[in-house]
Formats: sequence, structure tokens, C-alpha cells
Amino acid sequence: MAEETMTLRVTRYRPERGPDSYLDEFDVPYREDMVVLDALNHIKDDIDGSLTYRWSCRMGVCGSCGMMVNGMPRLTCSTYLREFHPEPVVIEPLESFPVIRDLVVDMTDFLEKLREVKPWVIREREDAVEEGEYLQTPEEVDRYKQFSMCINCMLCYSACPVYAQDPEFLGPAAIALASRYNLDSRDQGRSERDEVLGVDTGIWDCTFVGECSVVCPKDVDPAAAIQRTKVSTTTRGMLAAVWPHRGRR
Amino acid sequence: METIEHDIVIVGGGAAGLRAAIAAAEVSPQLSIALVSKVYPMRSHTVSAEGGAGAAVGGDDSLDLHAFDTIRGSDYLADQDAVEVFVAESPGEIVQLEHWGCPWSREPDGTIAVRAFGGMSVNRTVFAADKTGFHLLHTLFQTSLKYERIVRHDEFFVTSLLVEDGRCAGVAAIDLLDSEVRCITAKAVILCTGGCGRIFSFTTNAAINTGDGMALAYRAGVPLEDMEFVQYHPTGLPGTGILMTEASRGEGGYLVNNEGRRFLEDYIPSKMELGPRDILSRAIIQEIEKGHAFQGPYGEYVHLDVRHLGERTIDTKLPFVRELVRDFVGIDPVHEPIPVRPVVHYMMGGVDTDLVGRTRLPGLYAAGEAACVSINGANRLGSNSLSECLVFGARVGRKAAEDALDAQPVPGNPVARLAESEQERLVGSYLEKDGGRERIAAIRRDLQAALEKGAGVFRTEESLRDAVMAVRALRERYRAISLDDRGRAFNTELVAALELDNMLDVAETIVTSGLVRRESRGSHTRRDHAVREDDRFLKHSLAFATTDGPRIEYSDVTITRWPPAERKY
Amino acid sequence: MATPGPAVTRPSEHTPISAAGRRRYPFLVKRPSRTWWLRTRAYRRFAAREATSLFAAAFSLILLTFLFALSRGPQAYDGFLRWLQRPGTVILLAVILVAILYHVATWFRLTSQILVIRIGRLVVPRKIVVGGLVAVWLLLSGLVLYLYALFL
Repeated sequence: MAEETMTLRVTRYRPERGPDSYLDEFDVPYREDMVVLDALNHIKDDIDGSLTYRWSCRMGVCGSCGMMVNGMPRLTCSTYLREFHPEPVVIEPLESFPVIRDLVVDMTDFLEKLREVKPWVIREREDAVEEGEYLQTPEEVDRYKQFSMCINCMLCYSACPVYAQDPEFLGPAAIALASRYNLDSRDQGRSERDEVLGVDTGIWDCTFVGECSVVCPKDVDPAAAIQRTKVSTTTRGMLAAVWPHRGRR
Repeated sequence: METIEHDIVIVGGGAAGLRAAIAAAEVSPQLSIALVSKVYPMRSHTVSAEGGAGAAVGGDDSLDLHAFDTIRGSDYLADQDAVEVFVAESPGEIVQLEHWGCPWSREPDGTIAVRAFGGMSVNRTVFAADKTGFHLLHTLFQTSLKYERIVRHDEFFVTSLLVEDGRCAGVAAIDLLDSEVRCITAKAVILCTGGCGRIFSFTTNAAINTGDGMALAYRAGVPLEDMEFVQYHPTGLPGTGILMTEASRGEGGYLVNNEGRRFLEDYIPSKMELGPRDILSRAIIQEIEKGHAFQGPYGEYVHLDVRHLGERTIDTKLPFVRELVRDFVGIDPVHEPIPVRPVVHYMMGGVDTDLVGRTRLPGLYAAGEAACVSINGANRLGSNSLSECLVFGARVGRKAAEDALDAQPVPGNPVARLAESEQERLVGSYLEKDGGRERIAAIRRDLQAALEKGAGVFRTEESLRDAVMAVRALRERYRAISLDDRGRAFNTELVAALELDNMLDVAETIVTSGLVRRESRGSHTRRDHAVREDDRFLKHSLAFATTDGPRIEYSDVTITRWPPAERKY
Repeated sequence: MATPGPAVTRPSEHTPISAAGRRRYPFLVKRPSRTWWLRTRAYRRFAAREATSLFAAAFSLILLTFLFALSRGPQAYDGFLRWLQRPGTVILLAVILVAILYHVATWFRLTSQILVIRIGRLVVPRKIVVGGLVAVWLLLSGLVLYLYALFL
């Protein structure tokens, strides 16, 4: 029996070759347990060493290998070819980001946004290490745990039409990360983060398309984080109006 | 050429590198600290660590007990002064990480929980479900964003150390964006580049683990210590090599052979599944040799059975195991046993350092898996590596900061000239090289196969000698490589070629050190020299670079309070 | 892309070193399309959800017209009732009803994503939350019907 193959249509962009992207087609041997990343590695190793993409852990936790696979943002290490076989599969760089080369996109903006939400524990007074840990019950961990699972793969940004239209939008992962700290019983930095969240380019830019949560490979549910933040900032805003000494922390 | 000046340059953005950066930043706001990494820090391989971080924080635990377990686990090759420092500072580091927001799993009363791990006599592994490395790394990375003096150079690949007048004065690094060498000067350079599992074909390690820092130091004349000790983790998924955390056994999982029997009762009945990794890996290989294993498309395997733990425990304590097995094997461990086989996981050896991370080359430091302090000796205990990254990352960060505050300025011009010649080398040997037809991937595959064959769980004089010859032959072939990609923009093939260069050097130290250590100790098991020989080999091996490959020397092991004894469980 | 001559950079806070290089770099930037909302099924569903809110607005307008007519006396009110009985209006109202029901369904689905109800360490599943919301909705509708019957 002849070896089964499968066709990959890959978007290429090589700045040396001109300002436009182009399509390249590769046939790779097909096995049922192959993921898209295996196919890309086969191309790079044995067909064309100039194909360029990021990858590392190939176990769905480092967040490097996000690409558009047949028009959907996916982690290529966890997307099986069998989902598309025998039809050709189309691989493109993540949507809404500037492309550096082939399937590699620029992450500068994303990292800047992560930093903007102050993703670290903010406290009025920091205990010394000798005083031991801050107590936190399993229930208190549960409150923020989901939002701490983000691997920064940026699939949610690629799925977000708001970010596509308005690159100033803080975006799903950054807001989910802000929620992760806001909901942490050890943190007291909510009002500082509100300055970044409660503005036009923050939570209020979101129209709740909800695709960020659909494509999230770690079930972080950033859409819920954003809407809950809308509810909580509004409630606290109103509370502060009628009862000035409450509603602020 | 662009020269970038810093006080401290940290190469690598994993747990050790980030911890060092924060520690240095806390010493003085005057210091400019660079974090140079070939990937964005949150992609570092720390992210894949699952089970936990070891620290004597439980009520029934003591520092001495942790030290003894570590030393016994190391087959008495660990330096005991280093171990004592390590166990003493681990609990504080765990609390420090807690203060920075790490979502450690908790007891109902809100204190940090501990779980059982292999080779540890009490529960002392602190964990965040089974994504401990992920949470640790992201907590450190996010906390590092708070410090304005930590400047990141993301996606910069360090190609050489700039050594001027007997001091390490910086690094030459290519910015992947344009493949141009940047001269990054510093009064202290810290290597936190992790391990080199990728020189083996079957490994838990990520693609980035190519031993870059080890090779950089080695070429600069710093010896690599105890490189022959390669840890095989007993439980990796066949095919992909994805790690099934030791926590799955710590929480009560069984290892079962094809007769449905918990075969470890034949090997280490006192500890069973909670034995140390070297012993368990050998046991599985022996079961395979006895024909007690299952056959699969990716080699023989045994079963890791967690079904009796129940869905609830699996979902709260081992959710990542369930996720990984579902995604990458296509079965649900709640209902089916998991196929596993021993897999290359960790390098006990590394850049020879003292207790504060200094190497023999002034101005050069190392920490984490890239370094060998040595607390791991001939076999590391599970969960000690994350703590090691924290403890020695913090120590090296502080020390480098103090040293940098006292140091003379770097002589800019001679150092910049070194970097310029590095640029010429990269262009001449790679980007504009004529001739050659060897593919990088082909050499890499052959290297991985040679190491797997020659330096596996069981080794012999012959297998190691063959591996030495194979690596030398591959070094010859490497001279004839040719890149498909001659572009300057984000040239990952150039990086792969430079990584392969590093892998070849590191591989040669592993097989050569292994060849001359004619005894069995910890993870280094020789069929032809089956016993431990303290008279000759209670010593660290040191591999020095020469033009004819590594020269192996030996140095004494520091013994403080635990005289070497038979390793009994 | 090399910087000519020796250039020394002393990085200031948070300036990525290659900031200058990045600005010069020829990134490929795709312009966002105007028809993005047609691109995937999920986007189309989103567009439909947003579009159906126009029907809710239309119904509010009809209600306002009703109040306005009522305030202008019996003649205007009769005119309004006649308009209501025209076949075109009935069709329009039917369409509005369907659209609003769709909108309500999306609303419940989305609310269940936002609302977390915890009992101890357990989170109430979304299906039950949706069920609860629907139950409350039916209950309130029943109440309105009951009041209608009571006062008629």
C-alpha cells in the first residue's frame, strides 16, 4: 500500500522577497496520530528548512504554536490532522497580529498589554517571608484559579473581532489576567487595575462576541472575565455613588 | 554593530533566570539587568514541570530529613554543603513565591498543602495541582514585570560569551528579528538556560532544551560537571515523550506490567511506586527485557494505573494528566490505564559552580538545570529541581548583583571587537557559506539516536565507546551543513544550526564522562561495572574542552554529616 | 538593518532594545475587513444576536406609539388599534416576536456564562443556571398573565 499523504497549504511571508504573502503547498506523509505541528516539523526538517514558525513544548502548555488552521485559531501541537484528512489543511499566521515571517507574528503589543494590567500581587503592606504564607482556603483559590490558567497563546486575540478592528483594545487574555489578580484574596490592587480596565479601550470595548472563550485551549473563559468585570465595576461604581465609603477597596 | 550595556546579563528566562533577575533587582535599584532569552520567558521549559517543588514545610518534616533523602537519592554524589543550603532555603522560597501570587494548592485551613513524591520519606512536595511549573513560571514572569530595571531581550539567541582579559564581560547574541549580532556587555553574566534533553530522541524536554548555556560555558573553558548522569523519568507517554507526573504515583497510582501485577514489589518493595526515578526506570526496562511489557507502535511499555483514585481526585489533583492523556493518547485515565515508558527527563550535570553560582571564569555564573552545584549528584529526586531553580536562582542573582556593584566597568572596545568577529563567523559559516549538503535535521536525528542507543538507562563500555565515535563522526558531518534559509528575518534554521552545534558539544561530554566512569551510581548504570565504587569514583567528573574533545578530570565530593553508605530503601 | 558604526544604547525603563529595529521592520499587516462579521458561523451568530436587538427597539417604538395614541384621545387610539390589525402589522409583530425570542435565548445563554453560583467548592452547571433563568422568566410571564386576567 502506498504511503498516505496529506496536503498543507501554508501562508508564507518573507520580507526579503517582497511586501506580500504567498501560498506554498507541501505534501507530507500522513499518520492518524499526527498533529499539525508534526507536519510542519516534517516540512522544515526534510523538505524546506526555511519554513518559519514557533514551537516548543508540544504538549499544549508553552503557548508558542498558535496558528490559524483552516481559518480557526488553534494550538498546532494539539490539533490532529485526522480532523481534516483527506482534505488539504490551510495554515496561516494568527489573525490580527503583524506578521514577522511566515507563521511568526509580532507579540510586542500583547506583552505590553499584559504588563499594563499590573499582573502581580499588590498589597498595602507586604509581609516578610519569615511571617509565613498568606492563608488562602481552597475555596478562595477556586475563585481565581480558572483565570490563572492562561498560557498566553494569543488565540483569543486572533478570534476577537474587536481587537481586529481596534488594536487599542486591551483584549481578552489581559483582562482575564487582571481578573485573576483582582479575584485573588491576597491582592488589594483592584482600584489600580480599574484605571486600565474601566476605560473605553478596556472592558467597555468588548461587545461579547464570546469567541475568545470558544477558542481558548485552556478553558480560561476570558469573555466571562470581561463581562463579570463590567458587572462588578458598575456595581461598585454605583455603590460608591450612594455610599461613598464603601465600594472601594 | 550595536552595543548594549547592562550591569547583569541573565541568559534564559525560566524559573532560575527570572528568580535571579528579581533577586538582582531587589539588591539595588541602580543595577540594569538584562534578561536575554531565545524565547519569550513564559515559553521556557519550566512551564512543563508538573508535580511540584520540594521543601521541608510539613509538620512531620525536618531540614535534615530532606537533606538526607536528597543525598541518599543522589547516591552520595551530591555536595552536602550545597544540599544543606538548598534544604534550608527552599521553604522560604516557597513562601516567597506564595507572596508573589503562586496558586499553590491548599489545605482546608488555608496553609500550603504538600504531597508525596518519589524518594522522599515524608510528604514534602508543594504543588499547584499538576501544573506547578506552569504556575511558578507565570508567577515569576508576571512578578518580574513589576521591576523596571529588568529589561528583556526576547528572542535573542546568545552565540558566544565575550571573554576579555580573563573575565566574562558580556555575550554576543543575535536578534532573531534581523539575525544581526548585538554586543551585550555586563559585569556579570548568569547562565540559566536549562537542560539538554533534546540530544536524546525520546525525551520529555521541549524543543528549546538544547544545552546552549552548557555549551557556551564549556567553550569558554569552564568544565561541565557530572554530565554522565542523565535522568530517565519512569513515566513518559510512548511516542510523544510527554511526561506523566510523578505526582500520579504520589497520589497513589500504580505501575503494572502485562500480567496485571505491581511489579515493583520485585525491585523496591519498601517504596514501591514512590521509589526514586533511577531505580524505577531500571525496573521498567528490566520488565520489558523479561517480556512483561505491552507492545505498541512506539516501543514496549507498562501501565500507569490511576483508575482507583477516582474521578474526583484525578480532577482536583491530576487534571493536567487527564487532559494530556485525553488529548495525546485518546483515552481517559479515569477509565483506562496509561501506557508509559522511561524517558529522558533531566540532566543532573551542568556548568560547575560554587554555592553562589560562580563558575571558574570570573564574571560568569550559572543556576538551575544548566548548572551543577551539585545537589543532585547521580540522581535527582523528583520536585527538587523547581526548588533548586528558586534557591540557587535567588542566590546567584544576589551574588551577581553584589559583584556587579563592585566591579570595574567593562572594556567596551575590545569586547565589541569580539562580537564583531562573531558576526563574521555567523555569516561565513552559515548565512553565506558555500558548499556543503548535510541537513541539520539529519545530523540531529542521528545524534539523538546515537545517544539513545549508547547512553540509555543501561550502558556498557561498548555502547558508550560507539556513542563517542558516533558523536565525533557527526561533528565531522556538521562541518558540511548547508542551510536552506539564507534570509536574515527570523531565521530559525540558523538558530537550529547553532543549537545543533551546542548539542554536539554537550553530547560529547555526556558520552565521554560516561565512558570513563566505570562504576554504577544513581542514574549511570553500567552493565559491565554493576557496583558503585567509592574508592575510585566517589568523585565529580569535570569535562574540559580541548581541541580533541573533552578531557575528563575528577574532583572531590563534599561530605559534611552523611558519610557515604550503601543506598538502601 | 545593521546600525552603522558603534552605537551604544543604555536602555531606559521598558524600552525594548530593538524598539527602533521593530519600528523599521517590514511587518506584514493585514487590514481588517469590513465584512468580518460574515466570515465564520460564530461571527454570523453574533451579528444576528446584535441585529435582533433592533427588533426589540422596534417593539419599544410601537409601545411608545401606543402610549402616545392613548394620550391623544379615543380617536387616535382607535386608529392605532386599526393599524395593529392590518395584516402587514401582524406579520411585522410576528417577525418581531421571533427575533425577540431569539434575542432572549442568546441573553439567557450569555447570562449563564457570566453568572457563577457556587455551592461550597461546586459550581452550578450552566445548564441548570439557564434552566433557572427560564423558570424565572416563565414565572414572571405567568404573573403578568395572571394580573391581566385579574384586572380584565
